[in-house]
Amino acid sequence: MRRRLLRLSSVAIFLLLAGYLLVVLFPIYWIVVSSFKIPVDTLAIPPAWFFTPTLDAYLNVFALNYYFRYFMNSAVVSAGTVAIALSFGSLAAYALDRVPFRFSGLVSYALLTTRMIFPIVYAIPLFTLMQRVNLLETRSGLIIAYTTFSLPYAVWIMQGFFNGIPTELDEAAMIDGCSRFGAFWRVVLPVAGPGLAAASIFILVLAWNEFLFALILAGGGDAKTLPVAAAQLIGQREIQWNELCAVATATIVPMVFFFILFQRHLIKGMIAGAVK
Amino acid sequence: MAPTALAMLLVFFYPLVMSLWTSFHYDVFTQPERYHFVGLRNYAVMLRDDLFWNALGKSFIFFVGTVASTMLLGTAMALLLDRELGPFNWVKTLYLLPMVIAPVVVGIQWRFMLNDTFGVIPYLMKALHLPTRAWLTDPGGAMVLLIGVDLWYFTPIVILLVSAGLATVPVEVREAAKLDGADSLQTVRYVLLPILKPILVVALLIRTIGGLRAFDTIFIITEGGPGRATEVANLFAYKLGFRFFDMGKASAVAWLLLIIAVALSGLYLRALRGHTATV
Repeated sequence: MRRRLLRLSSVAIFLLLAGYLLVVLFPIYWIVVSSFKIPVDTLAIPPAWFFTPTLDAYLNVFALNYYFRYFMNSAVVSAGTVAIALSFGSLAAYALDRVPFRFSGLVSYALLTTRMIFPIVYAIPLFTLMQRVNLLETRSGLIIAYTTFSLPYAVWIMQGFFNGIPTELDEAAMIDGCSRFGAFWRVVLPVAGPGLAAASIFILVLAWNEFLFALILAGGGDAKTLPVAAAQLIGQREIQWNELCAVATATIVPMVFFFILFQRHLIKGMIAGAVK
Repeated sequence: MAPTALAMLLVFFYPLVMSLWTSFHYDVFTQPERYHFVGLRNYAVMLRDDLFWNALGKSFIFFVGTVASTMLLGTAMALLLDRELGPFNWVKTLYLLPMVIAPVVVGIQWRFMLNDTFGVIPYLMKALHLPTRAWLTDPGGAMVLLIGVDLWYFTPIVILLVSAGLATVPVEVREAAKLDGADSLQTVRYVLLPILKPILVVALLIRTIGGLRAFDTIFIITEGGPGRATEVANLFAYKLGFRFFDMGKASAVAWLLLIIAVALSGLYLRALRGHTATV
């Protein structure tokens, strides 16, 4: 009797899990699939579950229009953000962890609080600031703006990893003749490789998907990023849905790709970033 | 090293201070000549503004809705997924996929699927004889929809955190429970959940901040509509600042929201202090 109940509950659990997975994956699947349909199929009711695929939408969007540039913008800005966040962040994290600095605790706490601050609070002054120094509608401007959220994460994650690296390593390096910075660069940093990987993947995803800052600081010109371009396609009078799906797919595919490749690192980064 | 830290502090605190400064001024982008100090007037005006309270209310409804649902669903899913799937273990990572999708795309995909004319979902609902609703044009429905979308998007992070917490539960604890005669449900209630409390509070904190900050999906799917039914405070501040160009008032709204968020977090952290914050 007990066993039958158990099997019933196993089936129920399986159904629940499968059902939830379906809900999770279907929207993604639908958008990707729709981008390969001709407009008639995209909007077909009943939905065209089976259809002949076409690359028309992609050709239109990326070859004939500027969307390839927006893709590159996203790539450049994301890569730049990661580079800056990691370089400054790991340095700072190292300093916070190794160097007995009177205000270390305060700085750490300050970093924690920055994560609580809504982007909109930063967005307004950043807009005014950037407007004055002519950094609006530029990729560099975006990279600088993104540091407001990428740096805290970088420092946070790296600090966690540096904490786990024993100081004997530094001391050994310095006895061997390295300077403080040399110890950092040659010995500790390589050991913290996984940390760097986790931080870079996490920040990459964050930067690529960023919308508010990109909209406000670069929403009108050549430095547009992919998420903004996708959003602006909606505002048009007659939405070309299959093209919109193509842009959307282009926005998510790189990230899904990275996710599959680096999930372990990404997850490590997310946990490290989320948990104190 | 120290210079780096200093530079960082500058990057963060300067805009913050500037934002606060702006909120104390009459600062309308299109009228730079009328810029002047107004003290707390922006705040006073906002606190008396019905639209502000509407926005705050919507934010509250949204955030309670999304926090409750993501916490419940995420924890439940994490507990369900807490089993060996053998060769299918990789499937577990699929549940985390929504996390890497840009919120903008999430908005687009749901807007696409829910369209009355050609959306998949209304079609399926009709085919299955489920009650249909004009999600996008019905004020109540729109809010439910947004919460639902947020649920889709953010449950993974709760699943992730809770799973990580579950992974730290030593096998002995579970075995002891089983020896004492507890079945699965009892184990969960009396053994696992208390152990998970710290991480549940962390998840709660993250979801609260996330729920109050939500912008991208709301912007794409409803833009605050229909009418102002889903105009959460975030969106309200954005519109003030970048549609009406009233930076002063927008900053005031942003800061008010911030104060509320900090207060809430303070409450949470105080609750957390009663438990060991080790994971």
